[in-house]
Amino acid sequence: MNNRLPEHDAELTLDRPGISMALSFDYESRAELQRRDERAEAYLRRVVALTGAKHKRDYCVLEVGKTRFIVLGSHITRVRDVTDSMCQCEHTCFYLPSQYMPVSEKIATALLQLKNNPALFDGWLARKAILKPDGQMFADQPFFY
Amino acid sequence: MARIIHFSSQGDTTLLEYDPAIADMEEVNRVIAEYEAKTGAQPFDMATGERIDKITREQAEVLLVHPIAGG
Repeated sequence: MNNRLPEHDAELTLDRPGISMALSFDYESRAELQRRDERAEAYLRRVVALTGAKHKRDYCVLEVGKTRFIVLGSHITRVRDVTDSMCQCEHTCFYLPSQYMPVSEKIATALLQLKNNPALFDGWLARKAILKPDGQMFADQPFFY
Repeated sequence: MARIIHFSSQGDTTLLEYDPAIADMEEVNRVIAEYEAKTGAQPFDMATGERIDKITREQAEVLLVHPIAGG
């Protein structure tokens, strides 16, 4: 069976009004996504200035007392005491309730929250510790702290 | 005018705009508490970056920030 469409069918398809609408919608979506990213980037710059964090390429470094947080899009590393050269790094993931959020907005949110309450990280580590090796939880725990 | 905003990359939502000199701050705090209970968003002072327990007349811009979870 021949599944290939004749060439003139393809031309007809392109002439249909719905197709050009779909193409323009795609262009609009991309433009809107770009606008969202720009707004989120501006928001992050403001939060960085407010919290005294340092903005690196795709992550931010926040220092609260002797503690250093390195915040990426969905992952945070903590060095509890930067003056202690033997101090080990601790890692955890973080989540926000919104399904789609630009990375800059996620980082900005984490910076504001951690600056105000660095102990949030302890709660996340504790939650991580109660996971069984197969990823199941030992007991129900509140998701948000 | 003071503003209470919920930032979103899709566009900010101005929840309240009021004159701090004459506004009923109890009412402002009641509205924010209701919004926080509904969405989980927490108020931060955008002049200092600090979390706010109670909004006062001194705060000109308050940002509602998403809660965060980890593990």
